[in-house]
Amino acid sequence: MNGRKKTSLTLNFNLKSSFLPVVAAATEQAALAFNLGKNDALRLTLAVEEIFNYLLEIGNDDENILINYLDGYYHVEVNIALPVKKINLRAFNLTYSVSPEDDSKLNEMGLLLASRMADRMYLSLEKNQYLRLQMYKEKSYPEIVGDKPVPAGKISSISVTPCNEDLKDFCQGITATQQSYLYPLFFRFPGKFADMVNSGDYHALIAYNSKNRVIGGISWHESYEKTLECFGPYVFADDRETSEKLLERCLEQVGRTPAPGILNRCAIPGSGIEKYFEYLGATTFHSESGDKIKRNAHYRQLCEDMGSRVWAHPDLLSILKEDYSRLFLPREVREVKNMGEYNDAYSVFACDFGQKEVIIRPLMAGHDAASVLAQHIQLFARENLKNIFFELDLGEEWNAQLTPAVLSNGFRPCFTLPYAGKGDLLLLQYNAGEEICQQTV
Amino acid sequence: MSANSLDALAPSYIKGFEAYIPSKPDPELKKLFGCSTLYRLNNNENPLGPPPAAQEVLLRFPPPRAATYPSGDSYYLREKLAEKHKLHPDQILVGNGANEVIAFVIKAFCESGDNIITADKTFAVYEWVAIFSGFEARLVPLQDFAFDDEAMLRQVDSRTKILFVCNPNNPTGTYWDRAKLLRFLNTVDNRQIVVVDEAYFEFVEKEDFPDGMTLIKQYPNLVVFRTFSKMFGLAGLRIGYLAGNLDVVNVIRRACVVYSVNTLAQEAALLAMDDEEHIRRTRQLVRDEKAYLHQELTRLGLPFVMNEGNFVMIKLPLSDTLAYRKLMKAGIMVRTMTGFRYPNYIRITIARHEAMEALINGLEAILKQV
Repeated sequence: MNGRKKTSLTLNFNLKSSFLPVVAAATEQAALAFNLGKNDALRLTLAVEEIFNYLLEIGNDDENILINYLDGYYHVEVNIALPVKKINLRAFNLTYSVSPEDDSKLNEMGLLLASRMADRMYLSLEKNQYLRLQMYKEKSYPEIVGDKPVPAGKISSISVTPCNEDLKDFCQGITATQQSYLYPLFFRFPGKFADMVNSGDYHALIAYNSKNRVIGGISWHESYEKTLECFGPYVFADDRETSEKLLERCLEQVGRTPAPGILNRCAIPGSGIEKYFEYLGATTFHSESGDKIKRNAHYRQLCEDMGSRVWAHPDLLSILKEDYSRLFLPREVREVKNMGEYNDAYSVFACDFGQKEVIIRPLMAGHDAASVLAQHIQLFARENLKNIFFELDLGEEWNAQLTPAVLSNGFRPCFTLPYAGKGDLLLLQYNAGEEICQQTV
Repeated sequence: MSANSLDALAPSYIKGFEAYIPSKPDPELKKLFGCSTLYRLNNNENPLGPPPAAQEVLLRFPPPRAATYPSGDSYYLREKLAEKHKLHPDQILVGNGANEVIAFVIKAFCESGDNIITADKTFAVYEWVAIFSGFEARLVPLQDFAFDDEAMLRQVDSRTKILFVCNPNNPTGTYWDRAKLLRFLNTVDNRQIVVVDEAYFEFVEKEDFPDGMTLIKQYPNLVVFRTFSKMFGLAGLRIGYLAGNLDVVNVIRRACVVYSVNTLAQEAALLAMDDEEHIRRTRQLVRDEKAYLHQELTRLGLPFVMNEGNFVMIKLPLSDTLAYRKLMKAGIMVRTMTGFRYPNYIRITIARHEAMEALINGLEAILKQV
């Protein structure tokens, strides 16, 4: 299931303003060489320039910086890495340079500008030594227009290596038969989905009827660092047998991978998902039209759970214990409570921007966590971003200290995703309403 | 060492491989899952333990002898095994469990660009050792829960070095009869090494089940694996062996680590292999408890795969990994089968009646919640 070999280009130089034209030219030319359209290449170049200028402001000129451009077939990925020892990490809070209450200064916020121009931006700390900033600019593809007739019939076969035309028929069938909130946006762009599968980042199984016509399928990819996420099964004529065969085949394909589990956030009712997966909880998706859509999350482990220790603030202790008991997950839940010991003064949060949503992940916990988080929420409100999530890594003791700041800012637990971080990840949603243990299937 | 230099040192096939994490020790598991007893139904161990004579060896082992190295090539054990199988002692190599002899064979015959062929749903170690040694593992889907001989032969190319057949297959218990195995060996015609893993040989009572040891003379490319971990109850001492044509074994010997089998294991195995009564009692237990399970699983409406060997696969109407956690809470440890590419199946070891009853009660309780 390996994809095509991906080509990349790497720049390695010192952080100096004289390199700005080099960076700009390299970004644009690499983007064009990797088949990004002219406008998209320019937007990516602007994003990288913003980041570079920002680094010039906060960094030191003897700092070594590494920029890597990767052709991901359906996107171009830019990775910027630099050592953190002399960098003020606080500056990587989106809200650092100016007050988000001051609209006139919003455009001076380099990180925010860059995030607007990239389709996805992600900041992380690697082994506390390197700061890594990843930006993705996706290629433009034609969207499906109108519906084609969708074949029906009983399942006759499943392909693990479907051809491009079958992948595109799969997309056509999904958009013709499913509500839009039940599938990710990329299925509306069949050429893009074919490239995603051919890149090796995504995988797909396609089901056929006796006339060898596509009647459904399922797709999956690595979502979190270690966890897989699947989409579907989508069966155009709503046939439970086909759904279950697709689910089983998908699980056979991933059963011996290193992933500890597989998540499904767009389960189709009646697809048989509950026979193979466990219900975790739900999130609420706020659409642009103002609708609130409940999204159920299902999960299954791919191997035997060996048990682990998680760290919890007293405010989350009972809810976590209850949830672990409901899921039969063997966890030693250890309470974390600050008893006057030293804490950093400042907090740093990374923001992962996706389609109409943002996930906030803590990089450092400090005394100012509540106020910095509040500033982030204000900022997202101005950006009209309504789907705001926060991830607490329950395997990191220091994450637990952020609990009061997160809860006081209006975040509520949605579900716990086993082993998706250093330990389990607790996903919280801003303004979501319900809490994990009150959810039912 | 920096992350970059470590990254440069490790081969890509190692970086792409995830280490297997074995279960925690029983006391830790009991603590984690909050159970006071634990029935181990996950590793196909023999609930009767080792034969009495082997137990006696363990009890009487003089502790000062632990300071002395064991026989580096299991000298006396190989002599006795050779006598039993009518082979020359040098046709036998003893390893630290059958897992070690799998590695001996792959290392001896494969080089960069080579491949091995086995089934997709079988004992995973053939596949793992090939992959983390940098070789391709070609996996042929089972047909009706059994190794598909023709499909395996179709996968052979000029870089195929070894074909692994698990007979009877773990976890499905299906087997190739003598005629089928001979047909396969004849078609391979000595072009590749054929490994027949007979880890569960002693559990099979069918008359048409082939004894690979008797075929070595006729097929110089045949290598047979056996173990003392299953029928002979010595899993904790780690001891298994391979046998083959002298020239073939002489090649494998070059990739063999000597002194890897401890004294206790060698001496216990020497006395264990003669105990026909132990084999009879174990087979009786397996027969009786399989009959009980057949009846109870049918009553519960659970599909199952019950063939040869001391194990049974059961299909559940829920995730096998969730069932594992629920059964662990009740003190029953089973093997989940998603990793064997059988989602929603569990494999259970045939054990004493008390354990089988606990399993049925546990399954019944789970089914009420579905």
